[in-house]
Amino acid sequence: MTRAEEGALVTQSITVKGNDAPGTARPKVTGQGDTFWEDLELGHWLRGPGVTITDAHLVQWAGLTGDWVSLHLDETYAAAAGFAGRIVHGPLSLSLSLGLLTQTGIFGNVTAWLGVDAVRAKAPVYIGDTIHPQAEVVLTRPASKPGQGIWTLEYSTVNQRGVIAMTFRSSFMVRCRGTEERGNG
Amino acid sequence: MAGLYFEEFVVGDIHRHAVTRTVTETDNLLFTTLTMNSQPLHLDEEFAKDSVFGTRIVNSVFTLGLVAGIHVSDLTLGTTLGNLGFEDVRFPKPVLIGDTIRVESEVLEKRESNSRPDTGIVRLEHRAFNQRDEVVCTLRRAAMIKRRPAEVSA
Repeated sequence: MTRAEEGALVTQSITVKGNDAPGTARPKVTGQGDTFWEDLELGHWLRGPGVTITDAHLVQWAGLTGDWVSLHLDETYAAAAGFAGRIVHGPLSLSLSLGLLTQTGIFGNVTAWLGVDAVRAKAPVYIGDTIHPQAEVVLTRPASKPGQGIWTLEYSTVNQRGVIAMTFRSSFMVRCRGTEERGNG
Repeated sequence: MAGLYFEEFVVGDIHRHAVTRTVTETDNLLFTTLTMNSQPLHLDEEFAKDSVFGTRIVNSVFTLGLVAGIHVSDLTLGTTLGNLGFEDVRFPKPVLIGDTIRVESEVLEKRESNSRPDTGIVRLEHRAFNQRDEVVCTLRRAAMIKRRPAEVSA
Protein backbone atom coordinates (compact mmCIF):
# COMPACT_ATOMS: atom_id res chain seq x y z
CA MET A 1 0.00 0.00 0.00
CA THR A 2 1.25 3.44 -0.85
CA ARG A 3 1.35 6.26 1.63
CA ALA A 4 -1.92 8.11 1.69
CA GLU A 5 -1.83 11.62 0.38
CA GLU A 6 -3.19 14.50 2.40
CA GLY A 7 -6.86 14.94 1.88
CA ALA A 8 -7.28 11.64 0.03
CA LEU A 9 -9.38 8.75 1.15
CA VAL A 10 -7.57 5.44 1.31
CA THR A 11 -9.93 2.98 -0.30
CA GLN A 12 -9.67 -0.41 -1.86
CA SER A 13 -11.80 -0.92 -4.93
CA ILE A 14 -11.46 -3.44 -7.65
CA THR A 15 -13.23 -3.18 -10.97
CA VAL A 16 -13.50 -6.25 -13.10
CA LYS A 17 -13.05 -5.67 -16.82
CA GLY A 18 -15.41 -8.22 -18.26
CA ASN A 19 -14.46 -9.74 -21.57
CA ASP A 20 -17.94 -11.06 -22.02
CA ALA A 21 -21.19 -9.29 -22.65
CA PRO A 22 -22.59 -7.09 -19.86
CA GLY A 23 -23.92 -9.09 -16.96
CA THR A 24 -21.76 -12.12 -17.61
CA ALA A 25 -18.52 -11.09 -15.89
CA ARG A 26 -17.86 -12.84 -12.63
CA PRO A 27 -18.33 -10.19 -9.97
CA LYS A 28 -15.50 -9.35 -7.67
CA VAL A 29 -16.01 -7.99 -4.20
CA THR A 30 -15.09 -4.34 -3.95
CA GLY A 31 -14.58 -2.05 -1.03
CA GLN A 32 -13.35 -4.11 1.84
CA GLY A 33 -11.49 -7.35 2.18
CA ASP A 34 -8.18 -6.57 0.57
CA THR A 35 -6.24 -5.00 3.41
CA PHE A 36 -4.36 -7.32 5.70
CA TRP A 37 -2.17 -6.71 8.71
CA GLU A 38 1.03 -6.43 6.66
CA ASP A 39 -0.45 -3.71 4.46
CA LEU A 40 -0.23 -0.89 6.96
CA GLU A 41 3.21 0.31 8.01
CA LEU A 42 4.29 2.38 10.94
CA GLY A 43 3.57 5.99 10.14
CA HIS A 44 0.87 5.20 7.58
CA TRP A 45 -1.67 8.01 7.63
CA LEU A 46 -5.39 7.74 6.95
CA ARG A 47 -8.25 10.18 6.59
CA GLY A 48 -11.92 9.31 6.88
CA PRO A 49 -14.90 11.21 5.49
CA GLY A 50 -16.50 14.05 7.41
CA VAL A 51 -19.99 14.36 8.79
CA THR A 52 -21.86 17.49 9.79
CA ILE A 53 -23.22 17.13 13.30
CA THR A 54 -26.93 17.79 13.54
CA ASP A 55 -29.43 18.30 16.30
CA ALA A 56 -30.67 14.81 15.41
CA HIS A 57 -27.28 13.31 16.26
CA LEU A 58 -27.36 14.83 19.70
CA VAL A 59 -30.93 13.98 20.56
CA GLN A 60 -30.77 10.45 19.15
CA TRP A 61 -27.52 9.71 20.98
CA ALA A 62 -28.89 11.04 24.25
CA GLY A 63 -31.99 8.91 23.85
CA LEU A 64 -30.21 5.76 22.76
CA THR A 65 -27.51 5.87 25.42
CA GLY A 66 -29.53 7.44 28.20
CA ASP A 67 -26.96 10.20 28.55
CA TRP A 68 -29.16 13.16 29.46
CA VAL A 69 -26.44 15.30 30.96
CA SER A 70 -27.63 18.86 30.59
CA LEU A 71 -24.50 20.00 28.74
CA HIS A 72 -25.94 18.16 25.76
CA LEU A 73 -29.65 18.80 26.07
CA ASP A 74 -30.05 22.17 27.77
CA GLU A 75 -28.89 25.28 25.92
CA THR A 76 -29.02 27.54 28.99
CA TYR A 77 -27.12 25.04 31.15
CA ALA A 78 -24.43 24.66 28.48
CA ALA A 79 -24.10 28.44 28.20
CA ALA A 80 -23.79 28.80 31.96
CA ALA A 81 -21.02 26.18 31.87
CA GLY A 82 -19.13 28.35 29.40
CA PHE A 83 -20.01 26.78 26.08
CA ALA A 84 -21.44 28.44 22.99
CA GLY A 85 -24.39 26.06 23.04
CA ARG A 86 -25.23 22.42 23.59
CA ILE A 87 -22.12 20.32 23.11
CA VAL A 88 -21.85 16.96 21.45
CA HIS A 89 -21.30 14.00 23.79
CA GLY A 90 -17.63 13.08 23.83
CA PRO A 91 -18.44 9.42 23.28
CA LEU A 92 -20.45 10.39 20.21
CA SER A 93 -17.43 12.16 18.72
CA LEU A 94 -15.35 9.11 19.60
CA SER A 95 -17.83 6.74 17.98
CA LEU A 96 -18.18 8.87 14.86
CA SER A 97 -14.40 8.98 14.49
CA LEU A 98 -14.08 5.21 14.84
CA GLY A 99 -17.04 4.65 12.55
CA LEU A 100 -16.12 7.06 9.77
CA LEU A 101 -12.59 5.72 9.55
CA THR A 102 -13.98 2.29 8.73
CA GLN A 103 -15.21 3.78 5.47
CA THR A 104 -11.61 3.80 4.26
CA GLY A 105 -12.15 0.08 3.74
CA ILE A 106 -9.11 -1.06 5.72
CA PHE A 107 -11.03 -3.10 8.24
CA GLY A 108 -12.13 -5.88 5.92
CA ASN A 109 -9.99 -8.46 7.74
CA VAL A 110 -10.34 -7.25 11.29
CA THR A 111 -10.94 -10.09 13.74
CA ALA A 112 -11.26 -8.13 16.97
CA TRP A 113 -11.39 -4.65 18.38
CA LEU A 114 -8.98 -4.64 21.29
CA GLY A 115 -9.87 -1.37 22.93
CA VAL A 116 -9.37 2.32 23.13
CA ASP A 117 -6.92 4.26 25.28
CA ALA A 118 -5.97 7.77 26.16
CA VAL A 119 -9.18 9.44 25.04
CA ARG A 120 -8.75 13.17 25.45
CA ALA A 121 -11.47 15.71 24.73
CA LYS A 122 -9.49 18.72 23.55
CA ALA A 123 -12.17 21.09 22.27
CA PRO A 124 -15.97 21.09 22.28
CA VAL A 125 -17.93 19.95 19.27
CA TYR A 126 -21.14 21.79 18.48
CA ILE A 127 -24.20 21.20 16.32
CA GLY A 128 -23.27 22.43 12.86
CA ASP A 129 -19.61 21.46 13.14
CA THR A 130 -18.25 19.08 10.54
CA ILE A 131 -15.80 16.56 11.96
CA HIS A 132 -13.64 13.98 10.24
CA PRO A 133 -11.16 11.45 11.62
CA GLN A 134 -7.49 11.19 10.79
CA ALA A 135 -5.36 8.35 12.04
CA GLU A 136 -1.72 7.36 12.05
CA VAL A 137 -0.36 3.86 12.57
CA VAL A 138 1.77 4.13 15.71
CA LEU A 139 2.27 0.45 16.34
CA THR A 140 2.11 -2.69 14.28
CA ARG A 141 3.27 -6.06 15.59
CA PRO A 142 2.51 -9.76 15.13
CA ALA A 143 0.00 -11.12 17.61
CA SER A 144 0.63 -14.15 19.77
CA LYS A 145 -2.17 -15.78 17.82
CA PRO A 146 -0.73 -17.27 14.62
CA GLY A 147 -1.71 -15.60 11.38
CA GLN A 148 -2.80 -12.35 13.01
CA GLY A 149 -1.27 -9.03 13.87
CA ILE A 150 -2.12 -5.93 15.82
CA TRP A 151 -2.45 -2.34 14.67
CA THR A 152 -2.60 0.59 17.01
CA LEU A 153 -3.90 3.77 15.42
CA GLU A 154 -3.62 7.23 16.91
CA TYR A 155 -6.79 9.08 15.97
CA SER A 156 -7.48 12.79 15.74
CA THR A 157 -11.01 14.13 15.43
CA VAL A 158 -10.67 17.29 13.35
CA ASN A 159 -13.31 19.97 12.81
CA GLN A 160 -13.95 22.24 9.83
CA ARG A 161 -11.50 24.83 11.14
CA GLY A 162 -8.71 22.27 11.44
CA VAL A 163 -9.01 22.24 15.22
CA ILE A 164 -8.42 18.87 16.87
CA ALA A 165 -11.42 18.19 19.08
CA MET A 166 -10.34 14.80 20.38
CA THR A 167 -7.44 12.37 20.31
CA PHE A 168 -7.37 8.70 21.24
CA ARG A 169 -5.67 5.42 20.45
CA SER A 170 -7.43 2.31 19.29
CA SER A 171 -6.08 -1.15 18.62
CA PHE A 172 -7.28 -3.91 16.35
CA MET A 173 -6.46 -7.54 15.68
CA VAL A 174 -6.15 -8.15 11.95
CA ARG A 175 -5.61 -11.24 9.79
CA CYS A 176 -2.32 -11.67 8.03
CA ARG A 177 -2.16 -12.16 4.29
CA GLY A 178 -2.16 -15.80 3.28
CA THR A 179 -4.19 -17.05 6.21
CA GLU A 180 -7.59 -18.59 5.58
CA GLU A 181 -9.65 -15.96 3.82
CA ARG A 182 -13.37 -15.54 3.50
CA GLY A 183 -13.35 -16.68 -0.10
CA ASN A 184 -13.70 -13.26 -1.61
CA GLY A 185 -10.93 -13.82 -4.17
CA MET B 1 -59.24 8.52 3.23
CA ALA B 2 -59.35 5.27 1.38
CA GLY B 3 -57.91 4.10 -1.89
CA LEU B 4 -59.71 3.99 -5.21
CA TYR B 5 -60.88 0.86 -6.92
CA PHE B 6 -59.90 0.26 -10.52
CA GLU B 7 -63.25 1.56 -11.77
CA GLU B 8 -62.83 4.80 -9.85
CA PHE B 9 -59.59 5.80 -11.53
CA VAL B 10 -60.34 8.22 -14.37
CA VAL B 11 -57.69 8.61 -17.03
CA GLY B 12 -56.61 12.21 -17.15
CA ASP B 13 -57.55 13.01 -13.55
CA ILE B 14 -54.92 14.80 -11.49
CA HIS B 15 -55.08 14.20 -7.75
CA ARG B 16 -53.54 16.87 -5.56
CA HIS B 17 -52.68 15.21 -2.28
CA ALA B 18 -53.46 17.29 0.78
CA VAL B 19 -50.73 15.85 2.99
CA THR B 20 -47.53 17.86 2.60
CA ARG B 21 -44.15 17.61 4.28
CA THR B 22 -41.33 19.94 5.22
CA VAL B 23 -38.15 17.93 4.87
CA THR B 24 -35.85 18.27 7.87
CA GLU B 25 -32.19 17.72 8.54
CA THR B 26 -33.22 14.74 10.64
CA ASP B 27 -35.11 13.15 7.74
CA ASN B 28 -32.07 13.47 5.54
CA LEU B 29 -29.57 12.23 8.13
CA LEU B 30 -31.52 9.24 9.35
CA PHE B 31 -32.60 8.09 5.89
CA THR B 32 -29.12 8.47 4.42
CA THR B 33 -27.37 6.62 7.23
CA LEU B 34 -30.07 3.97 7.55
CA THR B 35 -29.61 3.13 3.88
CA MET B 36 -25.81 3.04 4.31
CA ASN B 37 -25.30 5.87 1.89
CA SER B 38 -21.99 7.56 2.62
CA GLN B 39 -22.45 10.33 0.03
CA PRO B 40 -20.91 13.49 1.54
CA LEU B 41 -23.26 15.64 -0.55
CA HIS B 42 -25.89 14.58 1.97
CA LEU B 43 -23.78 14.35 5.12
CA ASP B 44 -20.90 16.80 5.04
CA GLU B 45 -21.69 20.51 4.79
CA GLU B 46 -18.03 21.45 4.31
CA PHE B 47 -17.80 19.11 1.34
CA ALA B 48 -21.16 20.21 -0.04
CA LYS B 49 -20.16 23.90 0.12
CA ASP B 50 -17.74 23.25 -2.73
CA SER B 51 -20.30 21.41 -4.84
CA VAL B 52 -22.58 22.94 -7.49
CA PHE B 53 -25.35 23.05 -4.90
CA GLY B 54 -23.37 25.06 -2.36
CA THR B 55 -24.89 23.16 0.53
CA ARG B 56 -26.05 19.67 1.52
CA ILE B 57 -28.85 18.27 -0.63
CA VAL B 58 -31.47 15.85 0.57
CA ASN B 59 -31.07 12.21 -0.41
CA SER B 60 -33.25 11.82 -3.52
CA VAL B 61 -34.36 8.36 -2.46
CA PHE B 62 -36.04 10.01 0.51
CA THR B 63 -37.91 12.25 -1.93
CA LEU B 64 -38.85 9.15 -3.91
CA GLY B 65 -40.05 7.57 -0.69
CA LEU B 66 -42.27 10.55 0.04
CA VAL B 67 -43.75 10.42 -3.45
CA ALA B 68 -44.41 6.70 -3.08
CA GLY B 69 -45.91 7.19 0.35
CA ILE B 70 -47.91 10.40 0.28
CA HIS B 71 -50.35 9.30 -2.42
CA VAL B 72 -51.27 6.05 -0.68
CA SER B 73 -54.03 7.34 1.55
CA ASP B 74 -55.82 8.91 -1.43
CA LEU B 75 -55.28 6.33 -4.11
CA THR B 76 -54.20 2.88 -3.03
CA LEU B 77 -55.05 2.34 0.62
CA GLY B 78 -56.68 -1.07 0.73
CA THR B 79 -57.12 -1.22 -3.03
CA THR B 80 -53.75 -2.24 -4.39
CA LEU B 81 -52.20 -5.66 -4.69
CA GLY B 82 -48.82 -4.10 -5.12
CA ASN B 83 -46.45 -1.87 -6.94
CA LEU B 84 -45.39 -3.45 -10.23
CA GLY B 85 -42.31 -1.32 -10.46
CA PHE B 86 -41.00 2.12 -11.14
CA GLU B 87 -40.65 2.81 -14.84
CA ASP B 88 -39.14 6.21 -14.90
CA VAL B 89 -37.80 8.27 -12.05
CA ARG B 90 -36.43 11.77 -12.50
CA PHE B 91 -35.09 14.34 -10.10
CA PRO B 92 -35.09 17.59 -12.09
CA LYS B 93 -34.15 19.77 -9.13
CA PRO B 94 -32.51 19.03 -5.78
CA VAL B 95 -34.42 19.12 -2.52
CA LEU B 96 -32.80 21.18 0.20
CA ILE B 97 -33.23 20.81 3.94
CA GLY B 98 -36.23 22.95 4.88
CA ASP B 99 -38.06 22.57 1.57
CA THR B 100 -41.75 21.70 1.74
CA ILE B 101 -42.89 18.96 -0.61
CA ARG B 102 -46.36 18.39 -2.07
CA VAL B 103 -47.35 15.61 -4.43
CA GLU B 104 -49.75 15.27 -7.35
CA SER B 105 -50.70 12.10 -9.17
CA GLU B 106 -52.00 11.88 -12.71
CA VAL B 107 -53.81 8.84 -14.06
CA LEU B 108 -52.13 8.06 -17.38
CA GLU B 109 -53.90 4.92 -18.47
CA LYS B 110 -55.59 1.83 -17.21
CA ARG B 111 -56.35 -1.61 -18.50
CA GLU B 112 -57.89 -4.77 -17.19
CA SER B 113 -55.53 -7.54 -16.23
CA ASN B 114 -55.44 -10.56 -18.52
CA SER B 115 -54.28 -12.92 -15.85
CA ARG B 116 -56.29 -11.71 -12.86
CA PRO B 117 -59.92 -10.81 -13.54
CA ASP B 118 -60.36 -9.13 -10.17
CA THR B 119 -57.64 -6.57 -10.76
CA GLY B 120 -56.58 -4.01 -13.28
CA ILE B 121 -53.39 -2.17 -14.07
CA VAL B 122 -53.31 1.59 -13.58
CA ARG B 123 -50.35 3.62 -14.82
CA LEU B 124 -49.69 6.75 -12.83
CA GLU B 125 -47.34 9.66 -12.93
CA HIS B 126 -46.60 11.15 -9.53
CA ARG B 127 -45.01 14.59 -9.39
CA ALA B 128 -43.45 16.25 -6.37
CA PHE B 129 -43.14 20.02 -6.08
CA ASN B 130 -41.30 22.23 -3.64
CA GLN B 131 -42.65 25.42 -2.08
CA ARG B 132 -41.59 27.36 -5.21
CA ASP B 133 -43.71 25.03 -7.37
CA GLU B 134 -40.59 23.57 -8.95
CA VAL B 135 -40.76 19.91 -9.90
CA VAL B 136 -38.33 17.95 -7.74
CA CYS B 137 -39.39 14.45 -8.70
CA THR B 138 -41.42 12.67 -11.33
CA LEU B 139 -42.24 9.02 -11.00
CA ARG B 140 -44.06 6.80 -13.46
CA ARG B 141 -45.27 3.46 -12.26
CA ALA B 142 -47.81 0.75 -12.87
CA ALA B 143 -49.97 -0.41 -9.98
CA MET B 144 -52.10 -3.51 -9.63
CA ILE B 145 -55.44 -2.22 -8.44
CA LYS B 146 -58.38 -4.24 -7.20
CA ARG B 147 -61.65 -4.10 -9.05
CA ARG B 148 -64.68 -3.06 -7.05
CA PRO B 149 -66.01 -6.16 -5.31
CA ALA B 150 -69.29 -7.31 -6.78
CA GLU B 151 -72.13 -6.01 -4.66
CA VAL B 152 -74.10 -8.66 -2.91
CA SER B 153 -77.83 -7.91 -2.89
CA ALA B 154 -80.08 -9.35 -0.27
